[in-house]
Amino acid sequence: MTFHTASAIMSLYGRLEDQAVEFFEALAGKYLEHNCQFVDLAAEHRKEREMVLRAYREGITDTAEVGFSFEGLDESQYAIELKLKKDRSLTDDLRKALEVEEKTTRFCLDASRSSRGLLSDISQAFERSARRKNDNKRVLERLLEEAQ
Amino acid sequence: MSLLEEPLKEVARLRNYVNGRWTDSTTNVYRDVVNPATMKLLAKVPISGAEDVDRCVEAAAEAYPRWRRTTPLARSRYFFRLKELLEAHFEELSRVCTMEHGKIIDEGRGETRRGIENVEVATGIPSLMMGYNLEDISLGIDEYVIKQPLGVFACIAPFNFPFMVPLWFMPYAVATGNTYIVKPSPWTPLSQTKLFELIDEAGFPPGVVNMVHGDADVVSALLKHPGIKGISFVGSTHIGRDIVYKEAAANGKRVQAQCGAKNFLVVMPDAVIDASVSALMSSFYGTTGQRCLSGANLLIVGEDNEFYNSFLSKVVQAASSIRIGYGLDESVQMGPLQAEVRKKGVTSYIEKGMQDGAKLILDGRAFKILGNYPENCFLGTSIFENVTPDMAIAKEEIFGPVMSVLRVRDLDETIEMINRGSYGNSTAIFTSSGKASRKFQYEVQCGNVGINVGIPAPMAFFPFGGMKDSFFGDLHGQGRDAVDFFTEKKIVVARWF
Repeated sequence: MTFHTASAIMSLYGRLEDQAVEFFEALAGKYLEHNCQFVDLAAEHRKEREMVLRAYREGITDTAEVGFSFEGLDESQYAIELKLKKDRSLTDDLRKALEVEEKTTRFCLDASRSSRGLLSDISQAFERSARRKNDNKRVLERLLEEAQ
Repeated sequence: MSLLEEPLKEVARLRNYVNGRWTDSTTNVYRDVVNPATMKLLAKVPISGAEDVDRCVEAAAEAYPRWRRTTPLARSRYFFRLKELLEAHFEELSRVCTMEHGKIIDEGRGETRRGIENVEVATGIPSLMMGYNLEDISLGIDEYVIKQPLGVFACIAPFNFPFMVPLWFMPYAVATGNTYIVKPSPWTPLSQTKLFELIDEAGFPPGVVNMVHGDADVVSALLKHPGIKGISFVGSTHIGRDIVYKEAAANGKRVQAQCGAKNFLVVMPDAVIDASVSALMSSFYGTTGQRCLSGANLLIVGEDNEFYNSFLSKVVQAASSIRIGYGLDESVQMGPLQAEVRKKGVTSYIEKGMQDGAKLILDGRAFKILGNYPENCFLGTSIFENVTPDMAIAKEEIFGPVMSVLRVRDLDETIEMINRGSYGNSTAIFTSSGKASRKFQYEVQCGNVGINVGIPAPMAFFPFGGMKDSFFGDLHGQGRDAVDFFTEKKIVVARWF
């Protein structure tokens, strides 16, 4: 489904971050030796979610083209199968985690680009979130290196 | 896409808020408040009378001396508390607004945000209310200005921004030490009811802020009441100019009447096309065209037929793909009109435009609704071409999703056409030329001017402009104008022996 309104984009973003939080929390439960790192990553996604949604709530005005502000983002482009499988190894789960970060980063960059010039605070918040996800990726890459 | 949850579950029987208490109106007459998207009954609003107004004024007048002596800092802290509560209830307030008005949820949130912004500005009243002074105007004599509150003020609010508009006035009035009465529109009284629940929770002293529901009788009583010092009004030009301004002024009150509009949006041949089209959609069709800043006439400048045709085809394409439905569905870009009677008014203008010879190139009477909702208040987007300035659709306020396209030779003709119109609320120019936009903003007779901005809605710390038949009074709502409206300047010349 393609979304155009600011509200729909924000809800989609919220859902993506919620899924990521849930996924990292599940990883934290599955790999107790890496519990801290995964709990931190879950917390980071929660924080980013709040940051972006807050920028929207505080930045939205009756002036901005809120109903027409996004060029149309397709939800299916960002969908990931996130169900944690018992028989999957740490390496496989870390690769999946990297995919989560990559997809959410891409969403943030696309949302930032398509809202630029109309809702500048929101566009910046998405950019900031994408930057922080790159940091998350580095943490995961390090863990993957150690696991291999 | 699934619907956001509706915060209003039960049909409420509304009450007035007088002297810090929820109070039944003296009337037996109640009117239905209906969700225009679903046509479901939301509430029953009392159509109060003069006796209810008397009660409010009595409470406000009694509260005034003590409130006036409350320090500006303490007064501002009530607004800090209110701001916190508004943030906590942000989503609920926005959804209530969508439910009673029909606007889409993004617009509901935008309205809530602008309302909160006014509360934020009013928290700065210890600075905003400061006077000024000059030492030694003569030997050993100093002179200074102090700003003082006046007493009881009231606001008569419109249906189209049910949450925000009273907040253009009330926070400034109350923070400067006056006491206040709000009369919400009987069409959309629920946003203010929610706001007053939070005002009650914030703990404002009894009588400082009051609310009376009703219609013409309440307006008349407010305008005539000797205990009220001033009136803020937002609504149609007919009511604002011929009733509110005249009557209130005749009764010795201060008045600010922000009225109707017929806004021209100008597209120059050097406009950035795609961004301009997006801004135009929001301007003409946002809030289903029911705002005083909405675009009404689109002026396409220049004699280049290729530019005209290609620009207009993009506009038509964008307008025809707007998704219509219930505003709590997040994929929807345009909601219904607020009531059936408003839809009837808009469709009668569409018919009139056709009779007058304009060409209807997009007919909003044929539309598709996303979801299964009754059609009663819904209307699609319309575009007229070959419109001339003398046609009713080019001159009169339609207050709906209708665009009238006119061609003009150059910028001079454009400005002349805009200035010939009776309204002067808002206008906008889309161009890449600084020279053209400067000339435009310099010469055009409108109170709010957008440069590549389709809805030039002033932020809370700026006054909401308006000229000619769009505004009656001197000082506008919001910002420093509001502070001046709600205070009297006292000049003191002092010498000590």
